[in-house]
Amino acid sequence: MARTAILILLAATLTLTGCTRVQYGDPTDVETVTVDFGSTDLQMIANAMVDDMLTFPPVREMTRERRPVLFVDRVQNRTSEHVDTESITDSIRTKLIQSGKFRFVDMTSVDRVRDQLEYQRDSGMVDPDTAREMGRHIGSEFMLYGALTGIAKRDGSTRDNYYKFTLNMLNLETGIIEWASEKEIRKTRSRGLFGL
Amino acid sequence: MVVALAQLLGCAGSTVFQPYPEQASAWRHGIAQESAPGVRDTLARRARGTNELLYLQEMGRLAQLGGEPATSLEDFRKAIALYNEQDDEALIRLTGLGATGSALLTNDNALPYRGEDYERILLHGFQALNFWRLGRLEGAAVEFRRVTEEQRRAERRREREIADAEEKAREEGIPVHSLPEELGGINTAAAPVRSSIENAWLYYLAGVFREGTGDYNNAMVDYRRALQIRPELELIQQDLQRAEAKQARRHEPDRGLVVVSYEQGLVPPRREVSFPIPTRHGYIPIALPTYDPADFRPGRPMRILVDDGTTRETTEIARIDAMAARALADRMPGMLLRHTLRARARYEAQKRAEEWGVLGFFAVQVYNLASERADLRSWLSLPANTQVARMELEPGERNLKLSGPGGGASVDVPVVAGGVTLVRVTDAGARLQVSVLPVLEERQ
Repeated sequence: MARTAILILLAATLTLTGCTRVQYGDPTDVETVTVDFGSTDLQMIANAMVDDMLTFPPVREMTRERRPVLFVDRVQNRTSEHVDTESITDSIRTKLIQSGKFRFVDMTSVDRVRDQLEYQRDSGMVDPDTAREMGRHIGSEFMLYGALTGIAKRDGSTRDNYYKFTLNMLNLETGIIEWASEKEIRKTRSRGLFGL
Repeated sequence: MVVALAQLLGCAGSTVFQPYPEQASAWRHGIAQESAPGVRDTLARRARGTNELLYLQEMGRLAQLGGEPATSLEDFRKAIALYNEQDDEALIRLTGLGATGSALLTNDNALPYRGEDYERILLHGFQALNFWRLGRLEGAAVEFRRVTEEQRRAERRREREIADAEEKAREEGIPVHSLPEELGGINTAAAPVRSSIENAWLYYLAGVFREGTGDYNNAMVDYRRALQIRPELELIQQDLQRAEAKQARRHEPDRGLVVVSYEQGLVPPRREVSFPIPTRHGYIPIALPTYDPADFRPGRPMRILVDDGTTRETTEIARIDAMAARALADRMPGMLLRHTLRARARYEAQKRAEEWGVLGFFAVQVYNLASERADLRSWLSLPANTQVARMELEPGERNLKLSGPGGGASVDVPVVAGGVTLVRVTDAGARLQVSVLPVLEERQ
């Protein structure tokens, strides 16, 4: 009798520990594993920035007839976590392009573009009629830049993380900040009394 | 009893019965000479279970000393993740109860190694230096921020913990205020520092980093904090004035700043002291960790000969060894309490064993003697003390000749007008290891 019980227990343990399952989830589901900067925060920030920008009256006015050219400078990470701020600006840029209101030049690909253009011009491999010319890039009109700041507080049983994302759009010619927006996020977590 | 024996067997190779300093002495000896191959593999094999955090810290530091910042970065990243997990842990853990139970029957070495506050703070500081060395300045800035945050938080928590332990001791009627004579040495060892948490060296490096990246406001805050800890250091005073001048744009430097950071020696290991304590049932032996003041000595300066003919000397800015002793001294009330409670539990076990006859009594006696071991674990590849020197030099490629108690070295450093160059020198005993970190030029 006892032996049977042990066998059943053993089998149950093996079943419990033995199977690993892979599942697909909805990437927009709210993620609250920790109070650290996470995917939901990234999406919240990107959405808030884009919505705010596209509904800002002067920006709507500006984009009625034409699609201004922008470039993303960078977003400084001033938090005490290793946050990939480039990923936030990537999302914002993608959404802005998708809106059909703006066009972007990409500063991160400049070196590779130059290599390619030099290859087309100098290598002798490319039909000169189809070789793209150097010096025809369009100069951007505006620069997007900003900062992610954070205040992290922690005591015995609670952790409180506050994030503030600021984004500015600066007119390169006049130096005027044409648009700016802020998104704040606060996350708090209390430690449970019991756990594994 | 069966559980206890199982614990005994299960822990072979861990630190429960072989003290950590004994295990570490081989590689500690090795890094003083030449980083011995195979050490990393040995440590990596042990870096799991109760001592994972401890070994990850050692591995990261050894990789850093061996000039492998990328490897060190990975090790430290894992160690930092373990600390973060500790913060989020539930207050009473199911899985922790087993370890606590077995610690009550065996010794504190059966408990998972949770690190010390001063270790955690240094961990972030070393990680910042890894990022800086690899030219990842944003990462370095994050880690320097953590250094500051953790120091503030640890200070608050430490006060609360000491108060709690004293309160509990009063309830149990165990005197913890006057340390037994055998433990007196720890106060002598800890005497050079007031706090185990405040680290002037890391504040100073954070200040240098922020000054180099043009963040003068925060640089001034860091220098000021360093100065609060070591108010007698004129060096920091001058740094503070310079940062203020730069902030107010009164100072347009035509020279470059070169800072030499020097990590000297290795922290001494904890030592075990056992003595009988009086209880209601008579005297019972307990074993506690302590430090031997004979292992502690102030840093010896390093001389720097610059190629313009001038010489400098490094100034001691932090005593890591004394901070380690202070940390242990702070924990002593709690530790005395726990050991006394354990001594009582042992006595009860002994009483019960007498009922099992001679054999049982004998077994319990042997077990008690063998298992009463002090917890001697601590991060042992840390430097004993840290020193700094600072100079403003003409731009260009400059040569520095370093000569310290552990040997000499010659190093060429790039100097940029208005820039900051950090030269990091480590000396674990027998030779100087020098790395020049990427020059910071106010862009951030």
